[in-house]
Amino acid sequence: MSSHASSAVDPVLQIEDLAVEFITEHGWLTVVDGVSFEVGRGETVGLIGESGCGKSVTAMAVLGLIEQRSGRVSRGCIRLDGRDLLALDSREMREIRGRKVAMVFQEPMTSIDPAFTVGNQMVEVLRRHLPMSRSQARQRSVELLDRVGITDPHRRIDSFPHELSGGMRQRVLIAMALSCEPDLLIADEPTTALDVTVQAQVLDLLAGLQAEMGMAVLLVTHDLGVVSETCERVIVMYAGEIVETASTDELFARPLHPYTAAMLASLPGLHPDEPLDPIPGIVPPRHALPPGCWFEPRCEHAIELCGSGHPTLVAVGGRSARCLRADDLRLPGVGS
Amino acid sequence: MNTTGSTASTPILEVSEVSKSFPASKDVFGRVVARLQAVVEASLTINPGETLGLVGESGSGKSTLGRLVMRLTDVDAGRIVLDGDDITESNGPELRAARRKMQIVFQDPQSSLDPNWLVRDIIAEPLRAYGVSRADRLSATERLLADVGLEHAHGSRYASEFSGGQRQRVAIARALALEPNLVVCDEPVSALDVSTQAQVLSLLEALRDRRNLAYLFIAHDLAVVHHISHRIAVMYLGRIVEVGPADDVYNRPRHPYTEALLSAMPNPKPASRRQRILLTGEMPSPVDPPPGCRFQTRCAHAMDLCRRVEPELVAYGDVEVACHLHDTGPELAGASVTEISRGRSAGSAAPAS
Repeated sequence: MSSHASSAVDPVLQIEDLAVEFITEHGWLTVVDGVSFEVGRGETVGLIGESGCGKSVTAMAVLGLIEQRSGRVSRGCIRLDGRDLLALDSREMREIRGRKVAMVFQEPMTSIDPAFTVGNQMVEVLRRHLPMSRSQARQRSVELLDRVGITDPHRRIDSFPHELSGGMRQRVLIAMALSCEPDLLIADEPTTALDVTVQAQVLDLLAGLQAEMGMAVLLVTHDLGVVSETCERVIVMYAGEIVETASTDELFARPLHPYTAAMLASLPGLHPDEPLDPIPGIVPPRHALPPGCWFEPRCEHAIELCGSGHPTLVAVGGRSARCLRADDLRLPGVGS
Repeated sequence: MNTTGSTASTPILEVSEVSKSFPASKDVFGRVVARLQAVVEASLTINPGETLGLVGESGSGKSTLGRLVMRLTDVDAGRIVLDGDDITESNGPELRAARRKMQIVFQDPQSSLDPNWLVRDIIAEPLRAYGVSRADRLSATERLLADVGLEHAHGSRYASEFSGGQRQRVAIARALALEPNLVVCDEPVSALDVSTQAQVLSLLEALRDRRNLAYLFIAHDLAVVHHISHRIAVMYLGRIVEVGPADDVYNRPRHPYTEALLSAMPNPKPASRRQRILLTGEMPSPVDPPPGCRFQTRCAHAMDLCRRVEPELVAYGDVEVACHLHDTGPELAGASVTEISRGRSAGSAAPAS
């Protein structure tokens, strides 16, 4: 067990004080600010929050894809198996990507090249990173497709992406991501575009593969249900920074940050006979953040002090929360 | 919620046995050789003030059914009766009159709102189209802005400057401008974050109660549908397989597909997690649906009969279900299908009463 909710016993990924900026009409704006956490071997950590909270940007930073999107990492350190990723040049980073850290994104159609067959793309990935002949790589690809539950893999390997359904494309993408047995898998909304019964199949597959291969998984999602069912620990982001970290059970049973509690209260279906309790207002824009706590204008528990000083992320009994009142509030969760 | 918001009166919408297919492929001479059966003999009734939730996965035909109701697409067969008037064949002035009574809100307000128009003009457009005077349009627009929780100043901005939730408020205001009795909501909150989704759902509920609106609420998210609906209809491959009071369908599913759909929903609350039923494979193509029951290829309970004979919707009390388990099989006769699944996992094949 980890001693602190954002650290891991056998860390594969270590992020320390990460800050990322993007150029906008308001100049350089920090969209990820002071983010620190670890993901351990064999562990699934959920990174959650609403659109624009910085969760996907954090994932892109780990993959070294910030510069391509006219942004920059302005501060911090990202280590994979102890190696500083930010010190690598783009060629070295390409070596790492796909080999040591792999990714699965929301929309498989944009991550797979429509002009090449599934087999061509899988063979290429394998041969780029591993010393394999073409026929060895093809054989391995068939095994991988079979492993991710594609029926008739000998035939499917010669399919073009558009000939597959959304669920099958996502399975192919998972097979490609796992082909070089990465130490870390980053899955950014991997099932959001899928139907709920197919989503269940894909999540089940991911959990099985992880148990078998022992990789670390960082699951980026807005879906609290998916997090609750798949992750051991959760990191909650709001407006670019971490506001709470905890084990999944603790987070859902007893949230410490009012934003986490408010998100849970907005979920339909938990208390069907009661009206929903939406969070009022919207996330503040980056160029107009409030002076104190960034959630203060929307927080029903805010006191005067919350409007002045910006709170730090404070450890509270093995977890952490960025709230002045974390100790004295008793916020409702969703029961255990 | 299991009480309907209405008293005994004329239904606002009655859909009987509507079907719709689309050409799926053509031969070299341009002749249609295969048809996609989007909706097959679907029937629905919605009372004034009532919300009927329509759930299903991609390809179930739920959105097509919504478009058929709105008369955005013509039916191949069946009837659509709006507030007592048969509008199945209506067009021209008749259809124009019908459209005052029903409006639609789409999933993606970004693509359904013109980015070059001021919000005020977007909301007033239906009123202008129906010849409402300028002065009345202005006052109505102000009222609508306030009704959907927007401020006066928002009216002078462009929809493109708004967040997703605010744009959906604009779309709702526009839909309500002509004071319709029925609003078809096609995945109205699917593109929104959870906190914004809760805001928009609460708004839809408040407007329904204030204006006695009826909703045909189409969504893939059962938790959302359960929250807002009085009754729920479940579609699979073009057919309605189960319909009944929301709590009944949600807590005691009759159809194996409804049960699987419910069990696949990721649940944030560990204690109330259902035993997961992992369906094998994916939904068959609506171009070539399987013989017999459309769900038989993925159903854990499929019997020989299911592979030959398509089951009909049969009513058991308030609930209707199209499944041989109820009329023939282990004779559930309207009891929850979960009884069989439980019986199986306990090592017994017999359903508890």
